[in-house]
Amino acid sequence: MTPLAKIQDVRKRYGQTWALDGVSFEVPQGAVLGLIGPNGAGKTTLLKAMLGLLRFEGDIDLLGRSPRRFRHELMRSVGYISDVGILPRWMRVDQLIRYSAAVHPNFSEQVARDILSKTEVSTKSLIKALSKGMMTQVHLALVMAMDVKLLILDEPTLGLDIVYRSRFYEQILQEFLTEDRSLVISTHQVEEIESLLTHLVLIDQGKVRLCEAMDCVYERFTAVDVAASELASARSLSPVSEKNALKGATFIFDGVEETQLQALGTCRRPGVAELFVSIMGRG
Amino acid sequence: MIKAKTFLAIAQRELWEHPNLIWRIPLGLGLLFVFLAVCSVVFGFNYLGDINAEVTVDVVGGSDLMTVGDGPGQALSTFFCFAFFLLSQLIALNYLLGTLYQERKDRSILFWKSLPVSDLDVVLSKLIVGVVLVPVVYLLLAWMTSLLVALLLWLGLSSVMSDGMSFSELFFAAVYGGFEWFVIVCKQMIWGLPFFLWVLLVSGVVSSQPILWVLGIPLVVMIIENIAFPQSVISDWFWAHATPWPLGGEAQSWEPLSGASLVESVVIVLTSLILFVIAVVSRRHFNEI
Repeated sequence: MTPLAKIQDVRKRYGQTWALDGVSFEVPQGAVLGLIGPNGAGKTTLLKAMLGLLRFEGDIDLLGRSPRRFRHELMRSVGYISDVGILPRWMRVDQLIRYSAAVHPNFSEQVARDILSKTEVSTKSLIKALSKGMMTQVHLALVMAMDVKLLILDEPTLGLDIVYRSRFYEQILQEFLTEDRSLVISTHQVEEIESLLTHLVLIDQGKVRLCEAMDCVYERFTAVDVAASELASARSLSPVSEKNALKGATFIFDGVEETQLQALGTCRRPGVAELFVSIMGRG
Repeated sequence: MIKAKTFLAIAQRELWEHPNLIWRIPLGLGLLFVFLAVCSVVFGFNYLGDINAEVTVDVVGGSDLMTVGDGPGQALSTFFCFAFFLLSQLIALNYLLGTLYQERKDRSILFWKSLPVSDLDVVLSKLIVGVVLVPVVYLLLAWMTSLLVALLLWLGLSSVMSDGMSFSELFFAAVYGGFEWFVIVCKQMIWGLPFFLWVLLVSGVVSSQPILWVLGIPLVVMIIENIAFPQSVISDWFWAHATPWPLGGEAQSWEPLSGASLVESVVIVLTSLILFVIAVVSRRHFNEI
């Protein structure tokens, strides 16, 4: 299947600093791609480049077109929710729905109203009168009503409490994800999206540190809880990282046969957060 | 080109965002004038009682600037249309100054850009709202105000004058005055276009204090021209177009697209076109502040 997005050798410089330095990866159809990286890694810059909101070097192909040249045409099939409240604060919720319906050919006013009717948000409310969680619910309702192929979320749950965060991802799972739609999520709250992810891109200082399907990630990486007596043997296998534990240490290995590791201790799948810290720590 | 549906949606959005600027201020002023006219008629003419006063209406001064006829009907429409016209130009300036700047400042530009609306559609719609819709709404309300006030004055005058004024003369003079001002407003749309496009362009580009940039850059150009050159062609042209057409010094002899001012017309169209293209390209490149 043709990927929905192809990012090839994308570079972006702010002054002397490279915010993106040769970033390449693909977003296949039906994928949930997690874009994970520390603050200042270049995640937002990359997502903005994907949306055609800034100039860059390299190539981005979104649904077969250049987002820089065809931004507004592409936005018929691409949805975006940003890390900050970007909804116009002076507007009422129903005005926002009516405006979106007027300018978006794939927008269903009824779907937006139905989704919001299940929340505490009143369509007569001003956006500025809503809590941050409610604003995110409104934005999500708008995006869900757009019938898009690709949804780009940039820290969508930042600042939300655990109840809103949980509802948010539940709604995405129930109402958005299908085989031909893809989702790109950039977030710090890795644990919450780990179960959703089909692909993982770790990014740091504008460079991709890891880009794999989750199946491959679990094939490649193994976490081993090693007893104190086996530490030297574990270190000899060139682990990605070593973290001290109560009775020994936890090692993460990349591409080492599990049969070889079983002699050292208990083997398990590393969590994405664990992997993220290990790989970022390796530099 | 822009779709009518998209333009109407954007215009509706601007009406939601700026109801005060676009229609509440002129409507409020119109109602205030009508109220004052009612007061004048009720208290003023009642106070005069039933004396057969000889009433004359003189229109004093301003004949160079205003197309004032002889009758009170035309004087009324001139007064209201002229006042509302000047106000509409200030409102248009204020609207265009903030419209692209504010969406970048409150970061809502990221939401607007996540919808399938092109930068061309947005810039063109905002320009039409500022340069066409605002003056036309103000003119219509001024015109309706002048008609209502004319009617009230006629009622008042008729009650105290034995040979009352002709209502049809008063009414049609006010109607005719409105048409004259419609032509003036249309001319101003063309005359002021380069200036308003400059304002819109600055609104979409600067990161603070757009008014300072709008006036500051031409001021700097003027100073440089005055120091370096014997004539200040560019700055004179700019300031003339920054002024509403009936008051503009150079504009008095200017008739759009007539043979005598063909060069001026071409310069206006070309300058406007260039500024418009830059404003569209700028909206593409400049995001949140």
